[in-house]
Amino acid sequence: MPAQEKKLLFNVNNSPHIRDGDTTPRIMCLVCLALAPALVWSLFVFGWHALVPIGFSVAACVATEWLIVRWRGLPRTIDDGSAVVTGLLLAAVCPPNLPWWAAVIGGVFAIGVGKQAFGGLGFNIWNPALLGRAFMQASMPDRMMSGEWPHLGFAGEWWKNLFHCLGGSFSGIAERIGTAPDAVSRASMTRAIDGGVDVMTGATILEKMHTPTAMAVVDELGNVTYHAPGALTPGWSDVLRGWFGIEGGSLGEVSAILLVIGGVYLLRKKVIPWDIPAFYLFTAAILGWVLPQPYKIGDAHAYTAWFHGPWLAHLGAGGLMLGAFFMATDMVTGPLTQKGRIIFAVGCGIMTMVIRLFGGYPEGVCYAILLMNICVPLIDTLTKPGVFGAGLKK
Amino acid sequence: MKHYFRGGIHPPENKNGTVDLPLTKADPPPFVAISFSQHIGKPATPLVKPGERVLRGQLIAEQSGYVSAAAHASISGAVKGVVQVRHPLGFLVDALKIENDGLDEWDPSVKIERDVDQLPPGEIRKIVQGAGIVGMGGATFPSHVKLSPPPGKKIDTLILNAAECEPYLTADDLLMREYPEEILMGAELFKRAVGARRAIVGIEDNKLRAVTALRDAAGRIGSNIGITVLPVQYPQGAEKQLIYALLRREVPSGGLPMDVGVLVHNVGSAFAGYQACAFGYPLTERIVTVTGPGIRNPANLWVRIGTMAGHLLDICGFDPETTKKLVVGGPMMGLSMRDLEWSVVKGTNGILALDDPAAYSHRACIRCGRCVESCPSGLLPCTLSNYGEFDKLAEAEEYNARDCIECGICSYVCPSKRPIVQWIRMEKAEINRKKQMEVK
Repeated sequence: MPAQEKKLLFNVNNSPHIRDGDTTPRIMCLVCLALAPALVWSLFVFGWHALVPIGFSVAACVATEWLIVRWRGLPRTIDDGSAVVTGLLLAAVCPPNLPWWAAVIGGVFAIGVGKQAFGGLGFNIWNPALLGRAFMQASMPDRMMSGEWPHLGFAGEWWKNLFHCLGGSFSGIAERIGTAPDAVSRASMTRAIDGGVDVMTGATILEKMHTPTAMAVVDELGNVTYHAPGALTPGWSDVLRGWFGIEGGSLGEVSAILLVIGGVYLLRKKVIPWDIPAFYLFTAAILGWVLPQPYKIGDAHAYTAWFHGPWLAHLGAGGLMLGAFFMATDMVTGPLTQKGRIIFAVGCGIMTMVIRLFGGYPEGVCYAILLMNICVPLIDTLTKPGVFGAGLKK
Repeated sequence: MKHYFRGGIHPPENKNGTVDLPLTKADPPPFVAISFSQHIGKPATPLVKPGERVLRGQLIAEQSGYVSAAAHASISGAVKGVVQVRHPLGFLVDALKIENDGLDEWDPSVKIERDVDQLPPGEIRKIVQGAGIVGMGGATFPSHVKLSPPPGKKIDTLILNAAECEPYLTADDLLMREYPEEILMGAELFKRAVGARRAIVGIEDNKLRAVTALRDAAGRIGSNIGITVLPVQYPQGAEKQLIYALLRREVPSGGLPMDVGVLVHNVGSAFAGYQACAFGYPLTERIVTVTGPGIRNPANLWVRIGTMAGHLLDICGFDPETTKKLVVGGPMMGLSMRDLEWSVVKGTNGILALDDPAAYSHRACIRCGRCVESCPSGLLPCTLSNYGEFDKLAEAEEYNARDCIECGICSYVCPSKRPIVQWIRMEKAEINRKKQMEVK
């Protein structure tokens, strides 16, 4: 029958009639994939029990999202995958020996208060995972401390031997790993508690670099001279431990290298923009190198010289890589334009280094990003793109 | 000079289905329904009575105001009366139904020979107006209005829009390959009509055969019209973007190309202008690309204005099973039709039978910024989409919703599949409605 005589009814909707293939669930899925190497590494380094925070945090996030969206009477949103990403990121900034109930509390807070209270995906001001972490940091600081050193209990003899071999160049860590991980773990915990500060997890190298006390050297004549503490000039072994993740800390933060690999994957897949990690890391590195490092002589404060900072150790240590590639690049809580993203990233870098060097905490990534998140509406207003042809005379 | 404009995307071109096919003439249909509303402006006023015999090219409806355009019979035959057809925007409009007598007899007023070299500007405008020529890229703005800039507006450059940046469409490409001389001579006439110093053809580098044809033709006829090849980028064919890419001139917000001394015409309009000036042909046929997954035999066809969509689709082997959506125009800015009760109008450059239902359910905006990055107008489409979703009109106006050119890039790139451009269209309509009420 000719089409002419047939009454056909086609779909009617508005243009454009073709769409790009990328979807929000795909973006979230790629973020999970990119995070996987670092999380798998944490299982390898800390053992199976690192699955506890990961599993409970993801489960708590997804369940909270589902419940609240259902309660608000909105269409289901858990299939967009954003709750899974929040759960994984939250676990990544928690210590591996976190009890399951703490992970659940963190997950419920991250989604319930960090995200849904603001209206759900797309409307939250703060990165939900980091807000969850800040909440746990404030409410259960002792649980959030980096109590655990890598013990490779899961890895078996072969790997332990390998690390022993590496011990030659990785001075210091070999004995710790090989001989008495538990003792070291206890020692580091005691030190942190004695210090009386809210120590961020993963700040092990950072912990040592955070206002250490000067060494007193007494010469033959009995004169006392003070030297800048050795922690402020970390050797290659310390730097490499941080970069490769043979190091205590939050479970997803340990290996800077694997986080960079995941981040580059996201860059190649065009999920995250290059400008945020680039400007964030560049700013942090420059400031880590330029700024004088504070230390203590007795009760007095002293500073090392300008332009002598251990910037490479700062880059590989703590949560900087996770923050630069996975946290600051959160689209929802970041600026819209490239100009805005650069301001945001530079701000994150400055805040991170200022907190690390001069603040009360050894690690500043979490609060730096949260603080810059609040500035995003202002940044967006200031960096509104110029409208084509605006302000010209007709 | 590097030719670029801000933003833009590169969607799959999908022109391969028709770009190598020849230009063929579709058989005149058994009847035509010639719409009185084929242009922007007031509908034309019918001049003929049912039962009357009309000849091809005969004036059947005259323009009813300055911004309006005449309509001519595209076949010879008997007037059946006024019927209703669907306007591309979805509502029904009046059209004149003419039954084909198969003779295809021309009206005596056409097929004259005129020496176009000596035509004065006023005469060119009059002929273009009489031939019912409108913007043939799809916007259908009456051409004679564009050729008559108000006093005080000096036009120095005429741009021929040959970008054809929409995917699938190859109608302009074929026209340029087959009739390059006519197009350039039409451009010379338009140039003279507005007193422009120079004329430039802006064409994308995916139409190199057309570029060669135009350059050869320019040499043959001794024309100094520049043929500028532009890198492929959607929406190159958007007037303001094309002007910027070619001349680096920025049309003021809310202004017209003449504000920067430019006049833009589609190549199809220039061709029609030449046909009218040189031979007296009014606009009674045009090239239509019929393609898409639901078309078995895609084609570039010379189609009589008023041909019913169903007739055209039958010629091209239309498969109603795979066709979920029927689009008039390109896939980025074209309009989807609900049925086949419509006829080809002067602005119909393509008919696409698409299988993609594109019935996306949208999610919340995740502020990824892709729409911001690729918006050619420098807007924040995602922010505007939220204002649209939550009815915040004042904010939408403050965020320059009215500067949107509705190219559809924001909706195209959105990973949350939000119908962003549609919300902005609604905001624009609402803001304009309010403005009009304030004036009253």
